[in-house]
Amino acid sequence: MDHDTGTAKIYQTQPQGGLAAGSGTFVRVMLGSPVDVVAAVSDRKRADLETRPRRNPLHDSALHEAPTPLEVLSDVESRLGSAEELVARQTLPARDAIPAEEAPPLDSRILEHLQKSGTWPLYRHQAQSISRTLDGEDVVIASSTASGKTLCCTLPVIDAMVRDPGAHALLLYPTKALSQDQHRHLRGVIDGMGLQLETGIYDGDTEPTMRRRLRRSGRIILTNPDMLHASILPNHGGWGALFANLRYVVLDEVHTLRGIFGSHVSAVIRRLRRICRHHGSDPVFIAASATIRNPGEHVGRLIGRDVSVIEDDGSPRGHKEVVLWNPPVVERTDGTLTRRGPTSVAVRLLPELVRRGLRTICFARTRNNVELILRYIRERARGASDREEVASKIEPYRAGYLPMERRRIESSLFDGKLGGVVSTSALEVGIDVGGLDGCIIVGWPGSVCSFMQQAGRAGRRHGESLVFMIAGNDPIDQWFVRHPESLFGSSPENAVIETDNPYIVARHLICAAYELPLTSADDDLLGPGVTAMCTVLQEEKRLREEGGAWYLAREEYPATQVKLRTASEENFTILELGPDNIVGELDYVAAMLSLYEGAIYIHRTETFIVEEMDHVNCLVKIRRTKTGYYTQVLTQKRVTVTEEWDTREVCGARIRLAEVEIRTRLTGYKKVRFHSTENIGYGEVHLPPLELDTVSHEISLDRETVMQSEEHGPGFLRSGMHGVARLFRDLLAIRAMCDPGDIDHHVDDNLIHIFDLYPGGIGYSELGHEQHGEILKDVLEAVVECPCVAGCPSCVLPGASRIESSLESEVMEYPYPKEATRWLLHRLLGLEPYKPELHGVPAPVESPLNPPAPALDERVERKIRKVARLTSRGNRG
Amino acid sequence: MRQGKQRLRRVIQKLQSKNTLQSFTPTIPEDVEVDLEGVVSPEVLNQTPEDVMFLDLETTGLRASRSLAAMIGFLYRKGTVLHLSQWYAGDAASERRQLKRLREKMAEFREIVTYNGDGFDLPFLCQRWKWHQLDSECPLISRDLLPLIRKKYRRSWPDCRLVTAEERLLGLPRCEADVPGSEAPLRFQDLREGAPFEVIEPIYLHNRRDLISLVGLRYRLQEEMLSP
Repeated sequence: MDHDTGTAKIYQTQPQGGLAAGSGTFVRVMLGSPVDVVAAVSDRKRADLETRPRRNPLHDSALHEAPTPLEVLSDVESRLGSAEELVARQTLPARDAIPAEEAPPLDSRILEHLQKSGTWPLYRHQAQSISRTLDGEDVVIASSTASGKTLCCTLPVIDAMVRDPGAHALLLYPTKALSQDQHRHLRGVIDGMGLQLETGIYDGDTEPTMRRRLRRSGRIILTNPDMLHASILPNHGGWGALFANLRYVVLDEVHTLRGIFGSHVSAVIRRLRRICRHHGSDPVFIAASATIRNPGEHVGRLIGRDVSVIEDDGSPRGHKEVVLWNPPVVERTDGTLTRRGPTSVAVRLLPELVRRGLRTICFARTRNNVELILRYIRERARGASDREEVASKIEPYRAGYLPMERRRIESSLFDGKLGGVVSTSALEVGIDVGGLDGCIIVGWPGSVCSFMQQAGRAGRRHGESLVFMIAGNDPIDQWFVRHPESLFGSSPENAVIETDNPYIVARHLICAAYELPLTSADDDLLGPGVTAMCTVLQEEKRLREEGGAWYLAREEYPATQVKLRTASEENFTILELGPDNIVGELDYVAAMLSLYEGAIYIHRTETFIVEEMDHVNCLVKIRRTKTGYYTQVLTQKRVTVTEEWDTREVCGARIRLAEVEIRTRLTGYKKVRFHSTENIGYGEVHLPPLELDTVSHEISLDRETVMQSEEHGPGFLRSGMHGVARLFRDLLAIRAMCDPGDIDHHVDDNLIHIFDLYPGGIGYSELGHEQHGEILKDVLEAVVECPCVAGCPSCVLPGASRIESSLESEVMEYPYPKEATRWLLHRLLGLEPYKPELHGVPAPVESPLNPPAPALDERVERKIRKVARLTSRGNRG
Repeated sequence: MRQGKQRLRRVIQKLQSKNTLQSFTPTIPEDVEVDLEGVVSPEVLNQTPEDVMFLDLETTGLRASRSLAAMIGFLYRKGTVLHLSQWYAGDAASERRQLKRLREKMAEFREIVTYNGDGFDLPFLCQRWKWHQLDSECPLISRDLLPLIRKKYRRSWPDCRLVTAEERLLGLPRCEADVPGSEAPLRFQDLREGAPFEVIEPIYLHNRRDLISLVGLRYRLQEEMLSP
């Protein structure tokens, strides 16, 4: 019997003595004879149970106890995986709490409540940060997930409310879901103390009546930076009570406020401080961050003044096992070898964990993946009642659901009605979904920081927890499988923002002028160049000076023209035809890439076909169907130069800086069969291309370079160009101090484009243009010093933090990308020609670079054109 | 990084070209500065001290946080005539100029007479002053006529609007062409959106009439106080 072999494995592999009793319980649970089990439970087990009081949700009887995560791990290891599949296992040992020596000077009612509710004593870092906050210092708390940062933020706020009936506070969270969760937590504390305090979330989902109420009498307002920027600050007159008495501003998850978003948020915070000053308040900032390398510097730049850093982490940590899982290579029906997808492992693993009573969260990379995993789980469960019961305890969670539905899933996960949830990164940040026991990460999540966050979702409380990282077939996943030490050893990233970027500052100056006239007194908050910039803006007729103050030159609401994140704020509503109810919402870019006529929309495991896209009303009409396939969009990028700013000759190429228009055309979609993932057909997409108007650093290789590359065979040059482009982009990101995701590259013909992924450009590519030579030297260094032989994700192969276009596959197929990149770099840097070592590459293809096109007879040409037009018309019909 | 003016300008031009809002040049009416002769009887005129300012605002909305004091109308006695000033402000920048001038002008007076000024005009002014980061305290002694009238006539009159007071105390019926003050915001909006100056002419008349009534009402109330 399966279970028996499973437990046998436990005895063999677990050296800890106490486990015998535990696994004994496990066997009995499985066999269903629980009568005298309780008495046999050892002390260790009992202690463990006190901290993990939940029972297996599938076994309601009080005498059935859930096995501990470690027991489950051993079982799962033996049942599901083989040694080659489970490539690395890392134990993060448990750590005891360091309690505070003395209580922070909080109001006695709060201390009393903490003692009553069992959150006493506070950890050392909590007490430290609260004391400093109460002293009026701006602080940033940078500690691990689940270390009680929330209390550091909320306790001083509640303290101010208790002491001063007029005090107000503003809490900023990067996502809506997070503010929901934090509000629930905050209400819990406030209601637990029996306080009468008006609190609420003010975001895009808030009803108009609630908005009015919060403006009038809300004491603690939870919102996000976007809402603060677009709605609260411009209407600060209606928020007089808030701004006149603002005591605290809480910034949660500040490590997510980096790159473009962070730079914008820093401008918004400066505007906020300016409005506060106008209304006569000077709030203290409390920031919470994941463990990043530079919390103090980052938050200091973000809010524009120095902050104290609390990094000492006194919270306890449960025992955590991290398992790297590399799915096996299997043979397809046609005889080819392929690695089994991470999804298929997750589909087996997740129900196993849930069945054993481990509350588990499963992170998938895309929305589509979330739906697929769930669909497969439900399909596998069909027919067997116990499996169906397990499957019914697993729910999906992703953007695109209505707020109500999301709130319901969040709360049922929290109170244990759900056994598991499959999510996109939406649940990654700070949502306290209760003590989860397991976490399954399906595919590399993008960065070490992100991985740590997702892994941190499991084991928020005491006790053991499991993290499975299931590698995908992507080179970056495989690279991490080969180098697990970089996952556990490498230090987390720096969070970086640019506060003086004129592109951003100018936009926010206009917004600020709407809120209050700009004067030279704003220099200290908005930056020293305010007057100079205002003068330029006046010459451009955006502002108008009057008596030393600048006003908007015309009637407008500038905040709507400034987006804090690259993504559009416009949402598509998804309407199901037939019952005519609204099933969800998707933002513009996501809608463009996943909804088009003929697309299959998967919503809560049901498949729908998109019948009509109404771009005018932002409405998508879908109809329920049963299909055996899903759809994937195919895109094509085109870069058009609209205005050249600067150009110069360098070795082997000509570089120029130019304003460009990037059109991403959706060329069609392919239908992919469920499970087997074979292509079963293509469809056309009739959609306007997505346009991005930005600035690009263009490297156009000269004829000489192209000619010389010919002798190394086909694919050589392209591979090299991709390698250079990718590394150029990464190293530029380091110099420009931004997220690599803010820059993109495109390789076309003999051109390499490095462009800002931000409308209007943000100055990154301009920097790349200026420092072209130095960055190329960095690139060469990175290539030469990388220990790999043929190329790896840490040098020339695609990294994880970027969305690669479909064209990238050509570089993956070429066997010697590193050699090609090195050769090209030597050309571009004017070094000695590099001799690439290409083993067994086919002899150079003898074909002229640009064969002269034979001249066509004019009449023939006319006919061809006619045919072309006729056929295209036919297709449209 | 280069932060040249040229680059910034390009960004702004770009923003501008995308902006669908049209920029327009409204016909900005000139400030009205007239001496009014014979609008009140010599008796009333003589009883009006020279250091009293009669003030009435016409605004683009009721909430000071998002409206402009589009027209500041005030009246005072200058020798044997009443001097009327009506200053228009079509946008925030010109509003600042007018508000600043008003403060300077106010320094010449001791008392300010309004109708519901304590409830609306003066707080509105203060908030606008504050928004423009000017001194925001009202430097004059406020004499609001509405509470006085309300106290006296609340029981006997259907309402205590200025129009009613004019009719009952001064015997002045409103002329046909008069527009209610509540229409002012819409008409100012029309003007800013390019309508001809004529649309706000009735507002000027209305404002002027209100101010003259204030002089009369002040006199009547004073008189009643002295001889009950």
